[in-house]
Amino acid sequence: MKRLFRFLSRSRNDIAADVQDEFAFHLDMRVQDLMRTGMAESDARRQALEEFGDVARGAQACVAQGATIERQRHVSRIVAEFKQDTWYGLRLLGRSPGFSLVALLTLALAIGGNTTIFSIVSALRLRPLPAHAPHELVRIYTGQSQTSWLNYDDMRRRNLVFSDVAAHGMQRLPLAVGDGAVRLMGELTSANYLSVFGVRPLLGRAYGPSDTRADLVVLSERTWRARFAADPQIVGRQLTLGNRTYDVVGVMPRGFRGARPPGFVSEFWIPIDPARAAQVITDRRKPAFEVVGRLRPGIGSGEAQAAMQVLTREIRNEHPELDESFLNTEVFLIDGLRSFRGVMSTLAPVFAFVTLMTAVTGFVLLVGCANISGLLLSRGAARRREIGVRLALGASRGRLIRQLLTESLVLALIGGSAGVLLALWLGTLFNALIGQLPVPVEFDLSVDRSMLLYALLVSAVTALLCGLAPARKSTRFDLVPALKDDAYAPARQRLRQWMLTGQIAVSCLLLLWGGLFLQSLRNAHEVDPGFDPTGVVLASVEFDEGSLTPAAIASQLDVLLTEVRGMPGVQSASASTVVPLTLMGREEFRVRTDADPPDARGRWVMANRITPDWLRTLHITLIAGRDFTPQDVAGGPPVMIVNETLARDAWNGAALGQRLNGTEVVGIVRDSKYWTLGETIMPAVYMPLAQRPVSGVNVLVRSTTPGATARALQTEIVRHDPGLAPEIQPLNNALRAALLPAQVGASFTGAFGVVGTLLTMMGIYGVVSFAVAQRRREIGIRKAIGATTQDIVLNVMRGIGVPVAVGVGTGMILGTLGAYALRGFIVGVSPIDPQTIVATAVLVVGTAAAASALPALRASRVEALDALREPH
Amino acid sequence: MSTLSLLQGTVDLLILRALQAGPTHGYAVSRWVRDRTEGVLAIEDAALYQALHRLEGRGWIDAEWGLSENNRKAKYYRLTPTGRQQLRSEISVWKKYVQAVFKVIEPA
Repeated sequence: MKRLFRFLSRSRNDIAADVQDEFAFHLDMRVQDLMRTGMAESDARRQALEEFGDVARGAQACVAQGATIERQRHVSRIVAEFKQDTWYGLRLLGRSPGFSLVALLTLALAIGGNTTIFSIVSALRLRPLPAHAPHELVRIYTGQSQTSWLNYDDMRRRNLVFSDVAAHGMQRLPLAVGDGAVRLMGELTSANYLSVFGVRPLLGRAYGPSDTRADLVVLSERTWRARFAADPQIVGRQLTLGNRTYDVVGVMPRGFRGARPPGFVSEFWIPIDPARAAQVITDRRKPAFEVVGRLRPGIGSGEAQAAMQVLTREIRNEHPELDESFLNTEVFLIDGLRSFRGVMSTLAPVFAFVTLMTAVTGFVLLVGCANISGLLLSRGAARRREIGVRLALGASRGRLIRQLLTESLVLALIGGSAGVLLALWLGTLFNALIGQLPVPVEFDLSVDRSMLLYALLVSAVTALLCGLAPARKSTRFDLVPALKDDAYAPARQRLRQWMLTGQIAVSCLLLLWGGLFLQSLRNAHEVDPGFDPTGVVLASVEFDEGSLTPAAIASQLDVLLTEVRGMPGVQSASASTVVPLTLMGREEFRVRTDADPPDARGRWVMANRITPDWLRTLHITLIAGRDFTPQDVAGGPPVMIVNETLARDAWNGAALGQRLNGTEVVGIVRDSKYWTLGETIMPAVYMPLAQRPVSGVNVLVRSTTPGATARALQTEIVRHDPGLAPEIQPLNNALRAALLPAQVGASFTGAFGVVGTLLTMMGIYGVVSFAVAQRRREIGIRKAIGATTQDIVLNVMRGIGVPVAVGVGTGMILGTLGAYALRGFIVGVSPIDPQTIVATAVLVVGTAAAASALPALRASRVEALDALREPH
Repeated sequence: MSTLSLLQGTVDLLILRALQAGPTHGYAVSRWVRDRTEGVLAIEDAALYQALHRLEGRGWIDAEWGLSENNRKAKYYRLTPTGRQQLRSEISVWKKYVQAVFKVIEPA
């Protein structure tokens, strides 16, 4: 009870005293009245008391009632004061529009940036797998991410730890649209795949193990909207994918992505047709599917892994042709960052972007806070007369602090609302940027409750951060000098100086990064990727894996390439699975040389499957040995070509004739970049595509007339087989994905760096102007005793020397450390780049000098006599 | 005539009615009730004050310290607009109540 009354303006004792006074008055009046009728005083008092009843109980009840009233009044007073403060805050904002605009823009930028980051992170991590009981879902890796159909089938039928096991593999198929076709990225799955997740379709039904037909397709909500205008009658319609017709049986709800990582979109699901997919599903050694399982209740992923390792050992005993790595079976839950396993490298730019933006927007928020804090401090100083008067009139310091904090809260909330709008726009921008990646990736960055809550929280924290210190400072002083308008104590500037130092450091860091990324962007255009994309046309095609044997695919590709070679202008034509630097395809292998000890785990190499002439098409020089020839076919002795780095690492350069996983090395080629421009060269192997054909192939054609060839290629490929649905573009276009990190980095750090610097400039200007205003009299005296304009300007500017020096130093050190972490995305620039560091320092110091020169000059024009005569 | 014990809620009505003429202190309210009922309705003053404070809590009356006719500090009560409204409705309810009871005990 006591706590409740602690905040009352009238204490319980006051109330009790009032009640006592009231009762005493009543009794005295009654006694007087009775005595007026001639009664003796003692009799009169006795009668008065009798009429009154139980004085003590009455008093107690009245005091309790009074306390309740007091409490209600206190609450409504606080509410009223809050309203009043809010209005006052809004009026103040309107009265100094310049200050308000700057502060609001700062807050909107910073809170908007932070909120965007939050929604990206929450789309990546915080949203669980859209499935029933996601904690039971696991992925099963058999030494690698993919497993062959027969092995999958054995694991499904013979395990005791899963209630169900399903398989799925990526499948790109052209969807016939009018005369042409668009390529959709979907999944070919085991019949039970969709039912493993226990998700109800949005429309129709999901296919299941009981379906006897396999020409069924389930669409994603996104595809249904984008390609079929959200047709409510879609179920039962037929559509042509590749060269086959499917019945649409259902549409999965928005956000459903099967077992794929967050952000990865699947556009359709079709069940595997054992009758047609014989090629894919009869080769036990051909890993083509990812496997997911649902754990039986009560079984953990560790237990399941142990059980599966026993099972895979049995399977390998029965099929000794399987690779030894098959025994390294792993079972792991699909949650958190683990759901990104296998696609980490694809998403690396996204993660880098998110990390970078977190840092950058965080810093800008800090700078913004410091600035607003500074502005509030100066305004607090300007308002100290008002505050002094209010304190003198009896307002408590707590009340005034509350008022000042409410003002900054108003500011932060308006800024935060603008920030949410900005975040929406940034989210669209982000999705547009990652839309340039060759895999369909999209994040759900729409407004939701957690995002709004986050923005609100950030705004409130911001208000506290930038409001509390100024509010406390502005209300802490002696009344008398404040009312007399005496000079502000110089010590009050110290907090401001600290904040200024921090601001300069952050601006410096952002500009440094911006500079590095900008150089990186320039270098990215010039850096030598190890191959020559100019004049090369890229056509991605998809053979129908269902109807063609691998041998048929290889021969069809051969026919196609021969036809293309005969086209006018074509110098060479070839094909590969991976197109370097385009993020299209990526293969990694663990390999062992004959010299490696048998128990060694081997080394990771990047891999590509290529046709003869591919190296010539891309101008990748053969250093030793030979290129693949049309004689390197399936059934012939397996061969491979290695890059210089692998040859050097594994065999000190003498790679020819050596063996890697039992395959002979027949050639060594110059190093080239594989995944990003910023990477250090990784060991790589090339294998003949004909020995390991796949359905998704990239045709690369070097031509003297690339534009004409691109157009002719379209006609030629479609004439060859309309189901191939070619996607044709100059290779240089496709390489833009490689520039993405540098572009994104440069634009974002650059933009925020400029914003940060502008904010800092305003901060410096504010601090110096304020200092000058405080020192008018002193400057006047200096002039009176003979100081020149130059003396005064230098003297004023020297005041910010220390913050600038310390800030620049700190910013450079932190910025360089940060640049080390980002060096994978900085192409051709060392994180310690003297040129960038010097340029940044000059820029920041110059800006600081400029921002302080103006008020300093103004100070030097003070007329000595005027300043001294001014009342103070 | 001996004094009657009071029906529930009647004290509130009497206080509100007493304050209808204008602001006054608790003692005057007590006197006014005694005089108007010629002593038939005796309200214990302790109960009267509790009621006054309760009505203040409900927002029907306001209180303010002032000076009494003999220059003593006294707490003055005043009807608020809601209190005035409350008085009107309580009077009409009371009249209906009394008429109903009369119809039962003295049929026409």
